[in-house]
Amino acid sequence: MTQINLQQPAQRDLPFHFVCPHCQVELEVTEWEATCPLCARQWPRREGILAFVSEAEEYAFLSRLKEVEMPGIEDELANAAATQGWRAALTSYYRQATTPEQRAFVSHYTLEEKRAVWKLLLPPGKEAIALDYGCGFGIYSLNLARTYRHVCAVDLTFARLNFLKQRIMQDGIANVTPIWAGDRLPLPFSEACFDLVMMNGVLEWVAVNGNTPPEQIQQAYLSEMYRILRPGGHLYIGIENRYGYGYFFGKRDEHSYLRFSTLLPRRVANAYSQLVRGKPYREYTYSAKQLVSLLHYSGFAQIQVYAPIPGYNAPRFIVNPQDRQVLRSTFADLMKPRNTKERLMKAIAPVAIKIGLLQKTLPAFMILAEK
Amino acid sequence: MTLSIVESLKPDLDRLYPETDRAAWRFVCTTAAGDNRNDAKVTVFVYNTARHPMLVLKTSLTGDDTWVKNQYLTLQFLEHLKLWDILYPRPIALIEHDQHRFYVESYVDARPVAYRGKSLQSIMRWAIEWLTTVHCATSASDASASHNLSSLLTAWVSIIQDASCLTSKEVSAARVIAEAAREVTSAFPTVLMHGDFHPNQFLHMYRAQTVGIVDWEHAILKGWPVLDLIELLSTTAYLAGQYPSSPQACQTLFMQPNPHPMIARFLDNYWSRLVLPPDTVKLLLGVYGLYSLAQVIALRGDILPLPAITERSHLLLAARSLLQL
Repeated sequence: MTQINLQQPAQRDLPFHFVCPHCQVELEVTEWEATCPLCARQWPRREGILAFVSEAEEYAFLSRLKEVEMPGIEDELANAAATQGWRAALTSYYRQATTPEQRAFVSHYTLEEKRAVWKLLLPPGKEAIALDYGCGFGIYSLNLARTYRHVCAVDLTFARLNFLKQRIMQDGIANVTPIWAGDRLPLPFSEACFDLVMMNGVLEWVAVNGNTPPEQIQQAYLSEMYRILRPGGHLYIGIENRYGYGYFFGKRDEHSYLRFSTLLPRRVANAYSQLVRGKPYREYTYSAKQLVSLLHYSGFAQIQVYAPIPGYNAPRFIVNPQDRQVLRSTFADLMKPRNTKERLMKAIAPVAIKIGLLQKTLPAFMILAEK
Repeated sequence: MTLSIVESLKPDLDRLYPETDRAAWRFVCTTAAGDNRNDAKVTVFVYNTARHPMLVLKTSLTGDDTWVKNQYLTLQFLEHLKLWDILYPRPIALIEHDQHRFYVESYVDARPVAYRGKSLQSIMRWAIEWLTTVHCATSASDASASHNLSSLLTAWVSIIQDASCLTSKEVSAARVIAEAAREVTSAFPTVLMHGDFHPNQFLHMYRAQTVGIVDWEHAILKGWPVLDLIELLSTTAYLAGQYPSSPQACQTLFMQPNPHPMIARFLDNYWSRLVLPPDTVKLLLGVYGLYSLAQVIALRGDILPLPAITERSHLLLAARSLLQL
């Protein structure tokens, strides 16, 4: 197995360039840190991973997420991966896990490559360079690395990147570069350096901190992705539909953990969130029309919207949401209901499609926007 | 609205269906359901609103697409054997592009068969007859047969012994059964093994008025006899609602002092037509446990233990104890 020395990734070997977020000048990258030749700011490496954020910033972000994530698991896994190997670390964790959520957390985010099925919607990427923004444990990065020239894996949670680093070192994967960054614009990448930028389950989280209106922050992120994409490059977004049919039946919003919050007007949702959670409602999701509008405003011209069913994280089907024939065929012929809710959906789908209701209330979107 | 792979296959689709309206292609992309976490395969249903038949494209996300090729070559082999009249859906093409290999097959008005009551019985009789015919037509007892069967045992044991989700007792049972089976390989012919033979793989092809058997990606050209039959019988019993799981159905139906009378009748017919050595059902049951455990681990990876795997390993342990090995 080829061992990669992540302590010494030469900048010249990477197919993209780091730039100073303040001066936009190309950074000098050494085995110790990255330095801006103009303003002399420095970004150190932490355990070999170039760090554009601090532990304080990471903590500030994670503390907002503490009710939906599982604190401590990432650190345990990363440490065990370093000492026992990543496979043994996962096996051991899985044996100790006591709840289905804990088991799912590991298997979904570290092993299920089929989550990357959306990449078939894109042109082949043999020579392409991808940015996995909000990569988590890197399951998408690892799958993209099988067919892309290089993948830059960015996340704000260091422990997850550390686990990914152990995994790529132990498996001899040379075309994935983990970077500790995010949550601050501009990103430390030069203009037009990626062929693909993916934000899977990320756009709704980028505005959780700060006082600026969430739409403005999300808009700024989309514009930033436009900047770092090459002409003809693609932005992929996986996100829930604000008006997904599950929410009408009382399903909790995956981000705020509140019922009906996505369906309410934003101001009402905010007051509701302040009342129940004691913090503002900032995890905005959108309808397809609203998302297309945001993307147009950010400069993207060609936008394609797909509907993953039952969701973008574990899609069983990907369809064109506007094609009635395809929707009918999916719900009537292909879908094998696994529970009462799915049986109910299958039964009412023909009518809902006929009156155009299902098209607007599909659970999530996969969006491809071309620069 | 396009799908990259469908776009890239348009020239091939035009060649295969020259009179079809190019703008009328539609697709639904699906991923493998259930526990097959490492088996990142994708099936794309492609149909043309202006014309039948529906095409099914299968490809891999992980680059490990040997199964894609395997499926096509197996069906070509069946076609070569002049078993065309019992072979649906039709394999259309194996298309290779830069990064993906696509297996393409066509369906004509296909619907899954119902497996309840009388319908289940008739489909079972048909399936067993089909299986026996194909196994007889493909059986080979030449000099290499023993070597082929032995190699399969070695491959399955090597998957099992490296799996971190199994206990040492389970791994040891697998080794013991493999050794016992290895000693008698010369008494068995090789047959074309489907490898995943159960009623969910049967489709009614209404226009052709026949039944199609799908999902040949795990097929083995020179495989063990009987294993497909065991899988069919135990899975059907499970699907009919008689048992909580397929391995449990397998244990109950086959591992009593004598197999269930109905099962015994099916087995007798199969045994006599393939001329298999007598009194080897229980050993082959152990081989089936070995195969199905190795297959599940290969599909799911060796990290996450699940009840499905545990039941299969129980099957192995039970077979060892039954054989008094």
